[in-house]
Amino acid sequence: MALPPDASSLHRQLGSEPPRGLVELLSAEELRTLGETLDEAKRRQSAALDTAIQDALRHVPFVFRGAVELILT
Amino acid sequence: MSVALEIRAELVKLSRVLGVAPEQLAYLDRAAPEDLRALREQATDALFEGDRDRLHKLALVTRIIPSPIAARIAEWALGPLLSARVTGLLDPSKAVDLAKRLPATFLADIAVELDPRRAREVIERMPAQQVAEIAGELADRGEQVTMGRFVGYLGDEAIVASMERIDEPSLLRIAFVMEGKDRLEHILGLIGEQRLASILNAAERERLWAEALDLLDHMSDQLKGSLAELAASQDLLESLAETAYAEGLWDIVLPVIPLMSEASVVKLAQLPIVEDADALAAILDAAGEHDLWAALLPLVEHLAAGPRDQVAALGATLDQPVLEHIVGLVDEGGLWSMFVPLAADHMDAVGRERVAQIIAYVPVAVINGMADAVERDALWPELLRIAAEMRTGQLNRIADRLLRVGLERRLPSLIAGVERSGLWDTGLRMLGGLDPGLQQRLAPVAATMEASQRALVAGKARELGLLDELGPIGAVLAGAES
Repeated sequence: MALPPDASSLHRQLGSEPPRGLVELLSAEELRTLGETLDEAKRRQSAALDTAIQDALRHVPFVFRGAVELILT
Repeated sequence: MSVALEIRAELVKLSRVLGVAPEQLAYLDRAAPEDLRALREQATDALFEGDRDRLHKLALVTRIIPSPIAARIAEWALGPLLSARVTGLLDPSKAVDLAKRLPATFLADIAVELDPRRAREVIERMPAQQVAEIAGELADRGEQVTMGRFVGYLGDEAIVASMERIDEPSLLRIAFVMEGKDRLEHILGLIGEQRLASILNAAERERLWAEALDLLDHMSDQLKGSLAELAASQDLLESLAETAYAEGLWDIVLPVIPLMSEASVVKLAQLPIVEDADALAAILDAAGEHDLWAALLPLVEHLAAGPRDQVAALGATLDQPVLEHIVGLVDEGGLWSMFVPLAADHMDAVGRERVAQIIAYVPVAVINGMADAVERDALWPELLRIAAEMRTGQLNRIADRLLRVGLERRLPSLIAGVERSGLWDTGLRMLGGLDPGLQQRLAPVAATMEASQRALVAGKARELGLLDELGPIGAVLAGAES
């Protein structure tokens, strides 16, 4: 059985079908909120990763920096 | 664990994965715990997959830079969340080497964020003492939910070392929220009896009996019995039973009763809480709801008269199929010596009649089991009180089955019971309703009775107009009158 349209955003964010019980239980708005919360967590993680990579490079001794940059970029 | 608490624990875990406060996920508190867990694992995977390439590249960097530098980068640049994400991508021996260079506080921070499914091998290879240090740090922070996620991935040595660093209340709380509770029995096997006793005492002291009962619920019968004995030896049964009542957890406690020693069951039966009318009603409700009558009956055997009255009164109101089921269990458990007096002395006439209706139609084998117990424990007066509620046909049927086997013994003891109870009408109607062939067989047995006793029975039978109905037995009895 296909998922209701309300769950499609959450489905997309998860990359897999959300638990059926949850889809049946939550309202359209709650499903959308859950999808947005996950989307926001992904954005935060990506941003943190950007910053972390820049910070990491500062801690890498000069002798390794070129190789590390090559890997990370 | 109660569903509400399971949901709460899952929401805490999910909120960590999503980086939000648990309150922001309050709208999920109606969801099933298994759905929340599935969602959390999906979300963890989605967050990992979203940055997989870059996380993988970070993991590759650790291959070319020395461990002390990689450890510094982890601590000062990546932080716990990203370090946790990268951990599962590292070569496990490299990850363990890096961990050795990091403080327990930072490793504890990583543990909070780490998905143990992705770092199984790293967790397994961590030295036991280092795991214990992290566990101690997490325990100090009250991170039972985090530790509960890891227990299933740790080896015995790490678990033993960690348990030494964690206090008993925390151990109970961790066990309560841990994932993979099928390992609990094994883990408890790693704990000595003295520590187990301390854990039970902590349950009492810190009001953690709900957690302790959940633990009990995941044990094998053997360990359940041992823990119950331990609780009894520490005089903890009362607070355990009070929690079972307050939290509606009798369905966990009742199955343990048959696994306890008789002395401990007696202790339990005599607790004030068990004698409380409301608590007793809750016990019976749980027994009915979860079909735990077989577990409950040994307790009833040791109840004081008042609670027995109540059990009997409530029992008498049960649906007929349930009552029949209980009678079957009484037979299977050899509990007639408890049940017959319970029905006879503690049920009202309506209750006795309902029991009588059931007993009248049970199979011969059941009747024999009952008759043996009645004879052994001299319970004829009690059985006669129940039989007094039977209709004639039923009385004839039960009398036939009672006296057809072992009649040499049973007739004299029945007569003695009739004498003691004064229920002459019921007793003599039983004999009068027997088929002539059986009466014929019983006549020589009646002849062996004392002459005075025969005369007494004959006189009563004559008085009640039942002498003729006794047939050959009556003739033998009447012979003693002259």
